[in-house]
Amino acid sequence: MPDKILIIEDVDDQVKPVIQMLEYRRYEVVTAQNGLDGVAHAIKHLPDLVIVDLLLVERGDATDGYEVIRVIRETPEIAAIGILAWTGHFVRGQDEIQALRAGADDFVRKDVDFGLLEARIEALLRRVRRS
Amino acid sequence: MKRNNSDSLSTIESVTAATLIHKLVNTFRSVSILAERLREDSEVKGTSDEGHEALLDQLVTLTEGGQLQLKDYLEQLRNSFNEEDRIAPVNVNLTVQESLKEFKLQSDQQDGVLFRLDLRPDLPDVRVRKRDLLLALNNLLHNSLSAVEQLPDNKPVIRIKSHVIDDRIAVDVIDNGPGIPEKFRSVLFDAGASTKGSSGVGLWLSRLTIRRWGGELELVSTGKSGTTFRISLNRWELPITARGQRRVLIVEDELTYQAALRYSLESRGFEVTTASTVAEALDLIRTNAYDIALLDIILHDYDSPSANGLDIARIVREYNPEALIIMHSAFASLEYMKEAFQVGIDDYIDKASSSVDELIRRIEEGLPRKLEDAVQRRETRRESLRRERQDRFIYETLSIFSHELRGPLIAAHWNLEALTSGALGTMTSEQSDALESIRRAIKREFVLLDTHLDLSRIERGIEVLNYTASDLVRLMREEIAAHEDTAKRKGIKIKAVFPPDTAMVRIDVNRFRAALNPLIDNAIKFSNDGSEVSVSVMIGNGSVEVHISDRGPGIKPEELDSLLGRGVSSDIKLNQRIRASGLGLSLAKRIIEDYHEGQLWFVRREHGESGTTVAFRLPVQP
Repeated sequence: MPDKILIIEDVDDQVKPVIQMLEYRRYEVVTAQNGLDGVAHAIKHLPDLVIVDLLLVERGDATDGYEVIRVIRETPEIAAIGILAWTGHFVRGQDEIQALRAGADDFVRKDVDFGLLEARIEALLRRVRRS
Repeated sequence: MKRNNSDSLSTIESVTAATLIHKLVNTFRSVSILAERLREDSEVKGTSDEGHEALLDQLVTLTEGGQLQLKDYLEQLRNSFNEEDRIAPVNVNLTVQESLKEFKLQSDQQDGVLFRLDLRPDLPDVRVRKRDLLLALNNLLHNSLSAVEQLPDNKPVIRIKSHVIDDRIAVDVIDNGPGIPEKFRSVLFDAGASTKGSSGVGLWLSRLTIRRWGGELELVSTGKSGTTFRISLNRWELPITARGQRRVLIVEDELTYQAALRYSLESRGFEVTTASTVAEALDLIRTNAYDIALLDIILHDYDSPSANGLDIARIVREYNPEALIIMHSAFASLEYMKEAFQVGIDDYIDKASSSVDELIRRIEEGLPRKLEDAVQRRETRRESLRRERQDRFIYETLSIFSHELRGPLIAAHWNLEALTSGALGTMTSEQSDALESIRRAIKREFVLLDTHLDLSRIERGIEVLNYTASDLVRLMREEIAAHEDTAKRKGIKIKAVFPPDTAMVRIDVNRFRAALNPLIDNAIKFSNDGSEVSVSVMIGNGSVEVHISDRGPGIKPEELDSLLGRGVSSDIKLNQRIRASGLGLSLAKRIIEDYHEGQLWFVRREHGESGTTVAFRLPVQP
């Protein structure tokens, strides 16, 4: 069974190439466009890894990425899922710290190259499997 | 000397205000202590029940909130009456915009509230301390917001309007809330009252501070369709032509002489105001603009024995920079006169040996010169305001763009990555090459945007630089290594001429790299294929100098300046190179000059030389 990845991201033209790449790498990909849907999908699909955008503003839902991370960690059925947070926002230090403290397992900036993104996803999945 | 006006009206008021707030804070504190004790008491006796507890909790929370708010006011009061502060001409419209911006940041209950600015352009500057005006505006905005909150069905609108009324500049804050209840209207500006009837000192304090500068804060109208508050302020400069009269302030404690002067000046068409004590003089000077000040040197002022004409002259100069100040005295030492001119008086007249006619003659002689100065000063100020506005516009637009651009850039970047990953099928090597160069271009934009955003955060104080002692020679070597690949692709050789020693400089390494990057990048980008870029480092005279040269087409001398400008040049006639490298270069200049005590410049080309050399210099750490 391929690993299942849930992406919670509100910007379509950003997430599409990521989905293409992940599917090409034989992952099963599920997507949600806002925080509430994201949590619902997580419970329904029980993915191995959740990728969540920290700034979910485009779709009008007030739940941001930090909130999503917190809810996932507080919901017993999905509390152990690996979480990778990302942001397209300009960051220096603080956002990263805040995301990790909120419960994310890893953090990348959206201007990351796919090579590195893939490697991080693989590493995270290994860690999830071990625990 | 300290401004000796402890007996002036506004200061007395401020002391009363402070005492009152202190008392209120104490009362609150006592209430909260009592509540705490009551709770402990009932716990010990076992008589507490839940309802009781909840009430006590609420009481404690309320009083604590009240205390905090009062302390806040006390702090504001202290600040606003801090005598060390100086005032300068204030642009009302800019202040309104600033205040609204700040207000939007600090208040979070304004969803759905429409703020409308109706600002009359080109208003003259006013006489107020900016901080006090900001405080008053902020207070009025808070009142308006809580007024419109009471009407959830209505479309809440808060309008700020600036205009001229009777020679004064007015700012109206207008809301479409339900109006202030009748019973509160008469006590609105009392300490302890507010628009909602709850305890508050905001309006009272705001009025106090505005009045201190000769202005007024008033309720213009209130009713079912809304409420209008108005702040009106004196102009910084007197509208001299309004009545065609020049305003004279006579500070003279010899009353018969004062009366004589008044008579002579009034009969010659001057508008005369007199003061016979230091306190009186200071209050007048602070709140009014004068064209001419006639000051006696020694005032026999028993209330302020230490103050004299020199102190008054100093303050006139500060508050009325354009006034003609004439000192007149029956006796003065040479030393004293010298000091008076240093303080900024324009003329000195000996009372004993000169007539009133002589005084008038000197005034008529001195005024035109002063007026010329004033016109000059005003023009300079207008010009600098215009430039400031322009700078801010460029700067803010750039920041917004930098944020906005990230979205599409990320989309482009990831789509390219998907293409190169093979997820969308295989490509020819030519296609891959083309994609690779687009990818590099996008990366470069990311770095530029981030550097710009980072700098703007530093400038706003959100980020601080992290300086360490580093070896610039080593850093340059690393930077060149990082660019080797790019250079190789164009067949360009990077020639490094480095000294054997180290050059220790105090830099924020990451930010400094962000400055170096576009410098080397540009040199490579604009070099002809197969040519050479040279980087040389020279140490000497307590500084280290780095030259980065290319053999490209070079830049015309007249274009160099715009290339190093702060913003982005909008001149489309500039050549491609300038448009392509402008932002990176200006960022490098900001980083090196604003944050590293360095200098960045273009080295002038000698006749017959080709290419461009950009150079920077940093102080070397001992």
